[in-house]
Amino acid sequence: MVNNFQTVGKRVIRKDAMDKAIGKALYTADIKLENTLWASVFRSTCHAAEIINLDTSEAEKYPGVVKVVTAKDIPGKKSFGALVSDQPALAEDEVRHYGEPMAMVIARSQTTAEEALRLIKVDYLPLDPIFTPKEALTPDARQIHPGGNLLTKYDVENGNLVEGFSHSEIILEETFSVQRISPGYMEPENSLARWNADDSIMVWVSSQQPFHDQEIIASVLSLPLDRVQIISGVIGGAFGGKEDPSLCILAALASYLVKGTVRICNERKDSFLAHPKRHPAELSLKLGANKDGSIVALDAQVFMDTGAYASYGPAVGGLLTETVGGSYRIPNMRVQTSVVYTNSPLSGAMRGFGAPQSHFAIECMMDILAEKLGMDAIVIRQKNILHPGDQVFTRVVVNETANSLPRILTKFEEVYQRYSALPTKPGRLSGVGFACAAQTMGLGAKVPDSSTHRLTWLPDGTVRLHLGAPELGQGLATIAEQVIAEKLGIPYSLITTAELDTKTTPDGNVTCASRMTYLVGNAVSLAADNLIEQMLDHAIELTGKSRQDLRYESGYIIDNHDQHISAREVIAHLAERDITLQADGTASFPYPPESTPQHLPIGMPHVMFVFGGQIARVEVDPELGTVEVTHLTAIHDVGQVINRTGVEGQIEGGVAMGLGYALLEEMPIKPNGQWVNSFTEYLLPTAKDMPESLDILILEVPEKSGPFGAKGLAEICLVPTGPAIANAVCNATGKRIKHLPIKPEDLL
Amino acid sequence: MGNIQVQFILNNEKISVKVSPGLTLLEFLRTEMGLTGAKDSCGGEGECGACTVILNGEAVNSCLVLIGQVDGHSVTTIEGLSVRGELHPVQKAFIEVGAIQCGFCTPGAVLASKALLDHVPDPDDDDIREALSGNMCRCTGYTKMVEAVHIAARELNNGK
Amino acid sequence: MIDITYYRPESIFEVIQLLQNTDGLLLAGGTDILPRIRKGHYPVKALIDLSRIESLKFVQEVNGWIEIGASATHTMVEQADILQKSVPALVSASHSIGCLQTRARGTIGGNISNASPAADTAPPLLVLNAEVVIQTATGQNAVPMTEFFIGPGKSILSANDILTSVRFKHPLGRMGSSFLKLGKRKGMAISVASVAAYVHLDNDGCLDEIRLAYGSLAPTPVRGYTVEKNLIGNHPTLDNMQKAAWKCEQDVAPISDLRASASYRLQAARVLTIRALQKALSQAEEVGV
Repeated sequence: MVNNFQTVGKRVIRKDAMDKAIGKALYTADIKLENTLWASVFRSTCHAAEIINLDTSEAEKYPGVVKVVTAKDIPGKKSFGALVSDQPALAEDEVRHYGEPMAMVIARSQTTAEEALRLIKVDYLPLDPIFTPKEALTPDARQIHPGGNLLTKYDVENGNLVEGFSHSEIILEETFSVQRISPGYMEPENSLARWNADDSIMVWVSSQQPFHDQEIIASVLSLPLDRVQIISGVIGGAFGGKEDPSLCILAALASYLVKGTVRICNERKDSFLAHPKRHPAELSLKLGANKDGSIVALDAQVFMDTGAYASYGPAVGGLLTETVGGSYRIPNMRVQTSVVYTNSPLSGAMRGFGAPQSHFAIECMMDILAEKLGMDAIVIRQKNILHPGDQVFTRVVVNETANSLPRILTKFEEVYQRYSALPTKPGRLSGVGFACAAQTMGLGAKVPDSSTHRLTWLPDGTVRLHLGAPELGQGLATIAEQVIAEKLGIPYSLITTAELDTKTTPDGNVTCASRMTYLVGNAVSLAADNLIEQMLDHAIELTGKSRQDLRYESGYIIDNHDQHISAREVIAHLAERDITLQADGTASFPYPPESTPQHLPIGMPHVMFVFGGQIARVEVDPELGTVEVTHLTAIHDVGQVINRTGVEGQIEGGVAMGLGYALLEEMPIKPNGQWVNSFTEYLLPTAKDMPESLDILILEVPEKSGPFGAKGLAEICLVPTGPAIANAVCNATGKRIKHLPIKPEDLL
Repeated sequence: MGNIQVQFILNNEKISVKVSPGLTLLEFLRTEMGLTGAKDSCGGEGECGACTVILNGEAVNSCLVLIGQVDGHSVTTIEGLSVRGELHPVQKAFIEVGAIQCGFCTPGAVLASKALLDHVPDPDDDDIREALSGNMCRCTGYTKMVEAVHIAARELNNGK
Repeated sequence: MIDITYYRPESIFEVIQLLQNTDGLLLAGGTDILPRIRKGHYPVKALIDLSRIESLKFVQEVNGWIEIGASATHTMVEQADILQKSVPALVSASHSIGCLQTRARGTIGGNISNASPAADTAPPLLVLNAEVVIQTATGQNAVPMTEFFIGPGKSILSANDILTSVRFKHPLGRMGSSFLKLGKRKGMAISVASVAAYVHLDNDGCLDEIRLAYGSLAPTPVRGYTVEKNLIGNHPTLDNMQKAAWKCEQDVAPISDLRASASYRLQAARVLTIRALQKALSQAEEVGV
């Protein structure tokens, strides 16, 4: 495909990079306000307990303490939750997980607040904690919430399972399990809130969805929405984990109660204990196939540990359910998913949103099937992959972007040859493995997922973008600026992005779900078109020409005699008359009723898919069981590339995160009864743990409904990594590991 | 707990302060000096490198240095790295190759890279990965950082 | 911020006085104790900062002994020419610690004084037959490393004493040493198991000196006496080494924890024993007879 884009598809330098490189970028914890108090949170030291008595009187008296806050001080709604309002802002009667907030000390300094925390006394009636879904679902299990321990159950079927299995020539049954992991963004949750003289509140927070935070804070403080203003600081990574309110409720509550300015920051240990993780899950798959390798039926039972509170558990369960079949056409299929409350740290949104779990199972299963049938693992995938026009099991028909799947498999063949020919270090075993992936885009049918953004053409000729959903670090503002520049035909350098402020920015909804390139790109395209129309309308007056004699091109109004007026002149002229060119653009995902199956619960189905695949070469030390990922090639279809540097960067980061999931990261309970809660024990991949060779192949199968043919990328970058490494390890050692992370001890 | 007198060179300027000895260098920089380029990510355990500064020419975690320990020494933070508005080649390269995403680890990673290049002017991939292994990054997978350090090394060597 | 009284002595003499007259804890590089103080693991009231005592920062050779001051950082150790040439085991152990940032601050004295079973410099010092030099109020004692550790986090160092240096005879002749560490990841690794080896070959190529030591494999860093006994005087054939390495279970007492199980650690000890010996031997064999 030949195009003549000026900015789109190029490598551009993100505009926030300079401030970040010189240390001037202001993350929320860096924002300094006068007379700022510090709040520290008093957290549960029980996994499950009734609170008999919470005595804060000594802490109240401690010099320098301004106030000690408990649930009783909350003026409005005492609990919150994105999907189920089950999470207390401060626990009152019962604690359901270790580290749960129960009280908050507001003091003149951090040291004072922390010292005063030690004076709070609590009498617990400890309850037997429940740590696994299976335990939680036994008939006589203690009910963690009044509604029982089963938070959500999905049972989705397509085709005829019984018939499918009766026609299968081979049936395999395997159980896979994946661990709890932390989003591990470098910036821990934190927030700053200031009470204003006019009885309104300003809250700075590192959040994926400031507009949602605004609603929650208004409800907890019982304030009208317009009295709550949220401002997004620079965000130090989110990966789904900052969809849940990141301490902004407590910061706002503290500020409201003392009518002052209060800062609150999680330390890493608090982030581990009390902020959402990726769901641990157990997936039992029964797969029926014919001897030629074609899959006939798949039955899956899934149990997910959502921890003490719902967070996004029901939605993650839904998406996991939808993606159990991976990139494959499976005519008869059923998935039964139970999302279960336990006393574990809560699980919620995290990059992949169910797909990392489901793909580990299905992509390992594909290799197991190939092995049982004596078939090549690429050939068996070729036989079963989705093609345009195929239905996935939610009955959604995949579009022509599925054409990327056969191309990914062809690349696997090439890279497999190359990797297999590499010399192996003495005493090591080497192996190559791969996995495909299908990730959905968007929030799913029946969930409002529109996103609005605003453009203002300023008199200096620059265009200001009010991005309604936060830039998390991934480069969202950059691609939006590029799309605008391309649409308006002006240099990328002329577009700037404003700080997100709920007072001045339209509601762009949540930054998540691999949906932003698509949504923001489409929304700002519409807004740019609108700006051009407005400008042409004004140019009629200015030039005395009729509308059909005028056109807009690359920053100029051109008339039928090829006379040019620059857009900047027009804007300056309008400015003199106090006219500002401004336009909002709104985009959402297409869920046309005629092609969106309606038989499913809310949030299902998703109608658009992103495809990718990764192939890894590993070397295993057979005496020590250690695994080294020496090479990895990541092949991803992103539609039209907007920012090439950004695409590569997101894939490289995704591979690192996927490698951590495969080999290093886990958050178990320790022999002392406490959760792993530090980077000393929770091991992120370091620069030395990355493959010595990491290649990225970008496919650009255009998504016709996307901006310039672009679609999403963020989540899928890590989805195939885990199973690709597991398959490579099996190829090297003959050992099929059906859980993550794969540990040296598993391979001895 | 009495305050102590500490004198040291901070970003090429002599400073002399009376401070609480329980402060770490990181806390001092952020709260007393308003230099917020150094970050706290791991909670003062020396596990993440986000608070990296250069102390007497070596990259150190400022969360693991008590303020009294810098007495008489020289500290460079990210804010002091560029000279008269001119970016250091490491900063330039980080920006140009896209080694910066969320940016929270960037000041630390830039300073660790700078310290490496001061000692090893022509590092290979292994040297760079070793030098960056104490700087956790969750966004980039380190790939573009390694590329950036190579580019900065070339620029520094050409300048000689 | 931590709540402490802080002392900055200028001399060892002052340190000794402070140790006697306060309940201060010695602060060297701080890479280990500052996080622990912050977590409340040490109920510390006062810190005695050693950073002004330049006389503790050295690596030197005197009269056939190599001596390393307690405040020598891991970076100093890994970069010291004399150590690079003569004791690669210690150099690679220092190099394996944490990352550049921690090595620039952490000291050999701190690493040993903390008496962690996972202290990376301990196994190489054990196989070098090192002595620990301790300054007390009444004088200086040199104690063999083998007698220094008494339990996890416990050593013979009393609260009023300071470890001032470690020293060992400069190894010469057909000798080699090595250190191998197994961590859970490649960067910033804490040892799951580590082994140091020292060998010396006689004119016939037999082992006339052999010492092994283990880290993270017992409540303290320990010597591999059983393995040594099975190899001393013999040719270091692979068969001999394998047979001997198998017996390391009599020398170590691994536990199961978050990082690994006891049985995995034992397997790692055996494998690393052989590999560490091979590495040390290859250095020894480079030296002509």
